[in-house]
Amino acid sequence: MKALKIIGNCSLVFLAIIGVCVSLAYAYYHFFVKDVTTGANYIDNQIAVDIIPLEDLTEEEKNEFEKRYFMEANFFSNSKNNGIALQELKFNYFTDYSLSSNAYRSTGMQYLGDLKQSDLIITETTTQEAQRYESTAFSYYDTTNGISWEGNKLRTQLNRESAFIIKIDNRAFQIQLTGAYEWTTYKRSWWSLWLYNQLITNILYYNYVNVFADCMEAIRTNDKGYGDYYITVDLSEYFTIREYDISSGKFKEDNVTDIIKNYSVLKFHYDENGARNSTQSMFGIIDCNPSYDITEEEIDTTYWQERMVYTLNEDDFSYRYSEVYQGYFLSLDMDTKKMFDEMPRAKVNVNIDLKSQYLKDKNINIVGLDYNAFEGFEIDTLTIKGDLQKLYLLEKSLYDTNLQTFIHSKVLEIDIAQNAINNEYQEVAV
Amino acid sequence: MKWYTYLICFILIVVGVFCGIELYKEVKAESYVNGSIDISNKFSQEAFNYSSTSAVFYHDLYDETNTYTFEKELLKVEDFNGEKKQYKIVLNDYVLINSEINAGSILSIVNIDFYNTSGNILCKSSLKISIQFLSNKTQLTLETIGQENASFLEQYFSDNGIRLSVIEIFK
Repeated sequence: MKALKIIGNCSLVFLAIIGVCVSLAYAYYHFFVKDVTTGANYIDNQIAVDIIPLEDLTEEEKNEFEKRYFMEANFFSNSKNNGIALQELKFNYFTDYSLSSNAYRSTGMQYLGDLKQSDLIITETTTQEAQRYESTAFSYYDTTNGISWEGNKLRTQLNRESAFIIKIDNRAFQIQLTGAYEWTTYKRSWWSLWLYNQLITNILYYNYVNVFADCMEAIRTNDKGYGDYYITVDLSEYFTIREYDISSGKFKEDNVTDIIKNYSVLKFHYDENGARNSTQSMFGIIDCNPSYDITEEEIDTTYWQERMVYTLNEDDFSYRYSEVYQGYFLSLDMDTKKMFDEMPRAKVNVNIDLKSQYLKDKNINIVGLDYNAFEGFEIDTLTIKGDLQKLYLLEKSLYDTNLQTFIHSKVLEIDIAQNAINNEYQEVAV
Repeated sequence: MKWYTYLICFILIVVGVFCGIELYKEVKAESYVNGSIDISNKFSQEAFNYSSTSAVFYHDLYDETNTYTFEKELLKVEDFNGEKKQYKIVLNDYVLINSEINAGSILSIVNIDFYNTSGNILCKSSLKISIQFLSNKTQLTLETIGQENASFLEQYFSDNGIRLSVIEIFK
């Protein structure tokens, strides 16, 4: 029994000695070995993992997803004094760790004016005050598809309790506003007859207005000036990032590395103009008004259809010489017809000046429109100017063109073949 | 051994275990980089491409020509050469023929007619598109005359977006 007690005591002492050695080793490593372990998380565009095959996306989806950077900002400085100053910031994120396209969401905040970091009052807050605080000086908007936005109460709250899920390296991370600003003040104590300065630590728990003002400051001070650019911003002062652990199903805090930098890409538009109407907002809404417009004399721009107007001239055609007619016949080449086939809303006018410099330089004397010259090609107005001469419109030269108006010089004698054209049109001799 | 000797040993063992765990964490800790970013070449493309969901025209109060302008400064384009290469200019799937292509600039005039539901023309607008490829930036300017033209064009771009591209033609 005594032998056992001695062995036990010795083991205990032995373990205690090992404990001392380990403690000394830890103290040495911690205080004297200067290895610095860092972690950098690059947060850029939030494209869902399940939609990566690019060929499966529609053009609209590509445009939409291309714009889904974690943070996007829109800043109309109004330095030209031609609108209103407008600042906007939105966060693109997911609502669950699956990172799938149906878990997309964006939440944004909008400020009418030019908010500067120096405008913010540094005052102490309690955690209770800070947790659910959301400034009423801003308008807030939400979207689930990146196209249609809605605001007001039924939306994601941008406060310290909101934890968003973002994608870094195709892995889910949770990001939450947790940062605080601490500063110290001194207060003379009455119990020391006001001789002793008592140290007081003040804490300001950051809210999204602080993040917003800092992002706008980063845009305002970018070296390229006005335009559309991308910059990286260090959010480590504001946010905490936790990686999603698939095995435990929990988000784990990084307590291994002692420096965590979250390099986030901020995509922004910085304009020297002021904002004039709601189409300039990234939410399509200004001050919760989708029809916001400061134009005094508003013009009714309601229309049914627009048509792009083209005018083809002598240099847009091909020419064929005819021995019989002793001159050149004009026609439209297949490449031009094919190009216009792909532009169905194009409205084409044809202007031919028989005395043009181009024709003189090329030594071309036009005697008419060739067989099938414009067949199947829609023309709105055909104008031919020239001196006294005979002009032939050969068979099917204007067939299926749906010509509306034919304007020509009075002195021109027009010889139209029987089936040169198959629709009614207005003829004007000038 | 006295009772306090046991206590001291126990405390030393507990402290040793704690320090051991922390030591293991610190020794095994590795620097890491998650993800990567490449934002350096977002705008430098072979030719030129600009897209946006809207365009708003501004009128300078001191301008007497009634010109409404939309201006955009973009990053510089390195390899545009209007003298040695051929380009096609496309606005919202419409090829802008008869564009004036110079060594470092492009000028196009676009005419758009707007119709009402009866098929009558409401507005005949003309839009001047100028792209200047400068040494430090690319300057895009859209210009039109008159508030009515500007308003209809703004409506058109709001409905259809603006997709302007300069495509090099290889022969």
